[in-house]
Amino acid sequence: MLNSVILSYVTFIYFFAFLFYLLMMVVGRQIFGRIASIITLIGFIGNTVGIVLRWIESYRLEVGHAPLSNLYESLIFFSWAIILLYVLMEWRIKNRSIGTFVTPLAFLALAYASFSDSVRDSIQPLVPALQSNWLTAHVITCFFGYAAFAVSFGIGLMYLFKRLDTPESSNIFLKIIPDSEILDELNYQMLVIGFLMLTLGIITGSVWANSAWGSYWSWDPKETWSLITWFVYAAMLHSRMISGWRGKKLAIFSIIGFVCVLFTYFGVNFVLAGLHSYAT
Amino acid sequence: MNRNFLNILWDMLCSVKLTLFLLILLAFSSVFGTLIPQNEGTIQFAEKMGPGLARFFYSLQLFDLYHSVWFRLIILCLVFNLIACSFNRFPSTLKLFWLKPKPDRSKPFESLPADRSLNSDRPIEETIEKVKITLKKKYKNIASQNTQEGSYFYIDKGRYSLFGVYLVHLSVLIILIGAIIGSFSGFKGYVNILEGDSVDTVNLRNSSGHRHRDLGFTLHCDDFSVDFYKDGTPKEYRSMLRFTIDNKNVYEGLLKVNHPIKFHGITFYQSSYGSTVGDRAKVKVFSNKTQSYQVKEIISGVPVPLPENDGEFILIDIRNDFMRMGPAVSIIIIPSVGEERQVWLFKNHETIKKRFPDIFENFAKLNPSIYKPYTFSLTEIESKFYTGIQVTKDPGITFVYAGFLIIVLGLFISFFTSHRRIWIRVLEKNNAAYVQVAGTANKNPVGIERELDQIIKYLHREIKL
Repeated sequence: MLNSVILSYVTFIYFFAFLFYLLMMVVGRQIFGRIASIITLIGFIGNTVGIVLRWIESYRLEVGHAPLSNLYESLIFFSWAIILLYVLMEWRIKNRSIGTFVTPLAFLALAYASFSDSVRDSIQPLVPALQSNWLTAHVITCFFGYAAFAVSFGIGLMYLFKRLDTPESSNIFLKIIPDSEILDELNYQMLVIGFLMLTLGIITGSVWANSAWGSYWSWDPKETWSLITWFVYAAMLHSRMISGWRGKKLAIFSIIGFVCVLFTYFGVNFVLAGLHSYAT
Repeated sequence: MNRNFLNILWDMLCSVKLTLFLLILLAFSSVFGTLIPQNEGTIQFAEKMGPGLARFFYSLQLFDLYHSVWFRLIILCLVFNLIACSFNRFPSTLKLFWLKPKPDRSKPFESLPADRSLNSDRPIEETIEKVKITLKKKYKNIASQNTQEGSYFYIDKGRYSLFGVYLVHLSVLIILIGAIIGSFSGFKGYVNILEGDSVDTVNLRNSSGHRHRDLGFTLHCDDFSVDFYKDGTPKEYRSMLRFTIDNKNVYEGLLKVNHPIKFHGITFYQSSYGSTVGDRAKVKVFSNKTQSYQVKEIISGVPVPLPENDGEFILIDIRNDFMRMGPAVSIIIIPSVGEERQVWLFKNHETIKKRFPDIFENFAKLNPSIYKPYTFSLTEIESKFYTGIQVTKDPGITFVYAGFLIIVLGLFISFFTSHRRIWIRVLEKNNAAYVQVAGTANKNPVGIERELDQIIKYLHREIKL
């Protein structure tokens, strides 16, 4: 199908964007950064077109639904959301170094969707339980949350790199990374978006489960893991209130938090079974 | 001594470090619950790990971790921590909220960056007037004060943002209250109803005491139907439900997945369906003698005459899937003279014949032409759908949903609004007027800096010539 062909090309576009961001940081020439930004934008447009085409295609197949119903579709939406958040951030802070840490995440998500044998890219009809407007609200909020946490993870890594930077150091790579305070603030902003979206995601899922199965919470592994992730990020939010806990500890929290997100997303599907089994 | 101990305890209960510890502890214990099978899967798991370890797990309630005493204790600790923290901080928040504006403060202007100071090209009176007009365009509620040194203006906005965090904490309590109400005065059950049948009790899930619950009314399933997609997966299934009290119809409704029906405080959800065989079948009897056939509709156990009154046959068994070869019935043929014969008839006779060409000739019990001159074939068995309905009562749900609304509202307020306080003063030095702008915010330090820059930009336009 055309949409999955376009999306598999977008995978490579994101990879090239990453290469140019990296080149900019290694060589220290802004021109590569500008090229990287343009490539990223092209990729983002391709990603958007792929999603829209897939939506239209599903109506042609008479199963018409938003492309948010299985692992493949969630992965392409995930990478779309990561790039959207990143592009907005690059435009706001006028620093491209974050691209080096964030575009590979979008690339990996798309590569997994496009090239793994275990991820089916066919458009499947919705089983009755999934036929609900809550599906769209639930998936969009959850994956925007996940995307914000992915960006926060990238910034957390950058923060740890930046600590290696000293006034005497002449490492271009480290110099281009924004100052620790800016990274800390950006990390917090992503955390805030992610936490709000995760909360909304859990709530929409919960209300939906109550209308489909008559129980708003059943301690199913996916539910539980999303709650675990919520606990970790709630702890991260509170940790900022303890003096001296900003900076490094926040960066480490954002890495641990993202590991929880990854487990909620993938680990539960493959390791533990439950109500969310159709999300594979 | 005693008082001292209480103080330490209170301080600990109010500390954010305790919050952090409890949240991480909850996260960790929840992880175990996803690794150890809970409730249903317990038995096989316990068999694998040996009796000693299994007993240890049981005593720690690890097989029903989320309802265990210790897991609830952690939540209780978190609740106390949350209440204590709020009590501890709320008075100072209120004080800040009711604080009278004090425009003539000099502290905010200490160590002011150079670009927050602006020299005016106008005389002082005119500068003050210009500043006042510029600020009025952008802000409501400006407090001002004139002192001997100069003029002070004070802007205060977003005070309500101080309460965002309390709303979030309150919502957590409300959700927990909802959950407690639900678990004490609600129930979760299920029931399967055959199409055309009715029930007045349901089976309860996860309950130690009663296994059944009387509904107080009768629930009928008058009709069930299911649609499929082209690829065979179910598209939609629905049950026509009717509720009666003392044989009087009170309510009728169509129950679909994702569209529950509520009746007398109890909610019904379409959760599954299945089919079972009924007690009827249609059998075609072909007579070689007359070269004609008759289709007989037969009921289990009721003898049916053969054509030409040559004897009779009885349906004794109906199977949805016999020997993995699909729907089948067993009949006993009782001739007027001679031996009785029992034979199985398959609905998919032709396809089975293709796969196993001689099976019907080789086995007398499967041979539909065993009793000459007749050949029997099965055309249809009656199959009945049953609808699987989840039945719950949860009076706590209103609280839970209210909590959801409040938590979203609270998060919005505490994340995206901030209490900003801005001071502007116009002073005179060496007969020249100058303006200074300073401000603080409880959140979003970048945002307040940007706002102050904006004010400087506006003022620059007005007081520079």
